[in-house]
Amino acid sequence: MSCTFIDKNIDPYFDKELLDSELNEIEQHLKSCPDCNKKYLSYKKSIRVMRNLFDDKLPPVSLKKSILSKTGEDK
Amino acid sequence: MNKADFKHIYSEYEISVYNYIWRMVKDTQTAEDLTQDAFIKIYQNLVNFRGDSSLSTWIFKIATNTYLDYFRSASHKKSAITDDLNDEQNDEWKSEEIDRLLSIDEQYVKSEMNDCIRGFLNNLPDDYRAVIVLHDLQGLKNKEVAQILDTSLDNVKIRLHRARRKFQTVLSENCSFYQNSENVFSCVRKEN
Repeated sequence: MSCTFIDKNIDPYFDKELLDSELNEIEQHLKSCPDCNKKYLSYKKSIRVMRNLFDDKLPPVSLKKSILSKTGEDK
Repeated sequence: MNKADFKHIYSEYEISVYNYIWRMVKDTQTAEDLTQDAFIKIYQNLVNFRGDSSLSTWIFKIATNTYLDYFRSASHKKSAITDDLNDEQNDEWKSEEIDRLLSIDEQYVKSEMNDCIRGFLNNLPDDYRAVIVLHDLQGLKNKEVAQILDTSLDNVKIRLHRARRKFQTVLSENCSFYQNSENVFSCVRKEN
C-alpha cells in the first residue's frame, strides 16, 4: 500500500467508511510509515477540534411556540 | 407518517435543523424565520412521506430547499459555487476573522475558538459549508449528505476533503493543539 493511497483515502479512513480489510491495511501502513502517521494524526486532530469546539445553539423557546401554534399542534 | 407524528418529530429535529440553517445563513433572525418555514413545510407534507429515503434525509432536504429558496430570493443574492473540479480560483477563504485569543482560561478559550471556527465556516462557499455542517457537525454519512444536497457522492467527498484541508491549514497557521483537562482536543492561538 502506497502513501498516495493513504492520502487519497484519509477521509474515508477517518470516517470508518472503508471495508474492514482496507481499514486494516491502512492501519498497518500508518504503523510503519512515520510520515503518513504524522499527517494522519494532524488531520484527525483538526477535525476533532472542529467537532469539539462547535457548540449547538439552542433555538429560542418562542420559536417552538410559534411553530406549534401555526401548525395547530399547540392544543 | 401523519400529522400526529409532528410533535415528536419536531422535538427530535428542532435543534439539528435550527443549527443547520443557522450555520448556513449566519444570521439568527433569518435562521429562526427559515426554521419555522421548514417545519411548517414538514408538517404540511408529512402525509406525503413515503419512506423512499430516511426521515432525517427527507427533513434535512426540506431544510436545505428552504434556505436555498431564501438565497435565491430577490432580497438575498447569493450564488453557490458548483464547479468543484475547477474550484482553485475560488480562494476567498480568509482567516482574518481568526484574530483574538489571549486568555488561557478554558471556557474563554472555548468561546473564542468557537467564534474562530464559526469565522472559518462563514467564509466557506455555501456548498462546502453545507457539506461540513451536515457531515462533521450533524454527523450524517456522505451518501445521506449527497441525497440531501441533491448532488453526487463524488462532489460531497471532494468538498468535504477540501474544506477539511483548508480548516487544517487555518488551524496549523493560527493555533497550537493541546488536550484540555477533560482530555478533549482544543487549541490556543499561536503567538505571532
